[in-house]
Amino acid sequence: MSRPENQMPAELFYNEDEAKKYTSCSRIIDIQSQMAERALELLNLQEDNCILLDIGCGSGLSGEMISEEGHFWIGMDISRPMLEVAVEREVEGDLYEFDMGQGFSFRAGVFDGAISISALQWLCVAAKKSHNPFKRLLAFFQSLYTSLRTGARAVLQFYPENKDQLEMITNAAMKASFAGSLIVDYPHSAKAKKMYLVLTAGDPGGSYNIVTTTGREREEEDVGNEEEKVAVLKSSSKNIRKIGYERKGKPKVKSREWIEKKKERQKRQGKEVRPTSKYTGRTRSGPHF
Amino acid sequence: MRLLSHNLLMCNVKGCSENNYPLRILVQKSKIIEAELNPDFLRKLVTKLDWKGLHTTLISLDFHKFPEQLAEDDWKNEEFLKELHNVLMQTHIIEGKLVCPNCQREYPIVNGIPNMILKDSELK
Repeated sequence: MSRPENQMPAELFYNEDEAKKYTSCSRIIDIQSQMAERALELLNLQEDNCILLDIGCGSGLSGEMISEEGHFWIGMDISRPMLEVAVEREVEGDLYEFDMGQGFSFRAGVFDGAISISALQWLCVAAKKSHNPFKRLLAFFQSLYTSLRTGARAVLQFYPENKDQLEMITNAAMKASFAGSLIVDYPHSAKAKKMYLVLTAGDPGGSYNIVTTTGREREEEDVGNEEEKVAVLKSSSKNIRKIGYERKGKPKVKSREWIEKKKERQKRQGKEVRPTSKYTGRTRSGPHF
Repeated sequence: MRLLSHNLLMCNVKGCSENNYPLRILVQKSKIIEAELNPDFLRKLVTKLDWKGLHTTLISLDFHKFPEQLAEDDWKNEEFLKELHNVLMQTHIIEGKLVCPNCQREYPIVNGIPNMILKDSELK
């Protein structure tokens, strides 16, 4: 199966049918949620009540994880059908239709951080004759750099097709004055391997390298009861997590407890919520993806 | 689109760099959606908001309750925070247009989502 970005432009690929998968397919939801969680962990925000940018926010899956951490977010995406799904799901962030390869226009220094889940690789492929991938990547990174507060971080999860794409991305980031590292989780598993570009909008001047570091090393299922260390950035604190333990003391996404907590939150916001019953969070019969 | 994110937004046209915010809002449909008041979050906004721009926008939308200049005491005033919360976090522009005060470029707002995508001819 060929990669999506080699098939057609993002705004055509993420049509209404594709967008529906992001509400109904639990596998997709699971993977995206986990990556968003991991990105927020790597963002390592030291304060509450931040304003974050979600790049390629799509149907709002990653944005919901940001809301759960208590921050405000602004999401941007090129696909209107995906953004419409986010509106339907009543996500808490503000949504904007932008083509990130054109650059984007928020005032300087307004974001305390940024995340991106599975979006950046779309810039590596020219969807139109007029597209120069490196120029588009550069325009994106320059806008991102400007809109981040000094010292703020961006964590971008993406799927590079090959080493050339990876190099093009890191070169564009460095040209835009970013410093940082590339974290690779599960580097030995072709299926589980995930890459996160962790960038800091720091002081300009000087030369920067983007260093590759191994993040998580083993599949969670293999580890059993051992403690697992999470990759550490130079100055950030260590996060040690027990396997099988809930995410930072929170219930597992989509579990009954999680659903009940979400209902509580929505009730507090004054939204209409269906009453909880024995059917809440029940595993549905039917095809399991 | 909330007025909070609108206050952070500028015109996206390349080369349009002066007097390119706040974008004028032409409202066709707006909605109040209640949200929990978070005073800590609002107070943190003092460094992010462009108050002059926000005040101009609020006047244009007929919200006259806000001072042209902010005093430190305002941020401790519960009434002020309540009103600010209402305009920044609870007021959503659902249908309308954003217009750049400099180049007059229009960005449509449909279903609460502004379309900021530029045509190829607008990219230098």
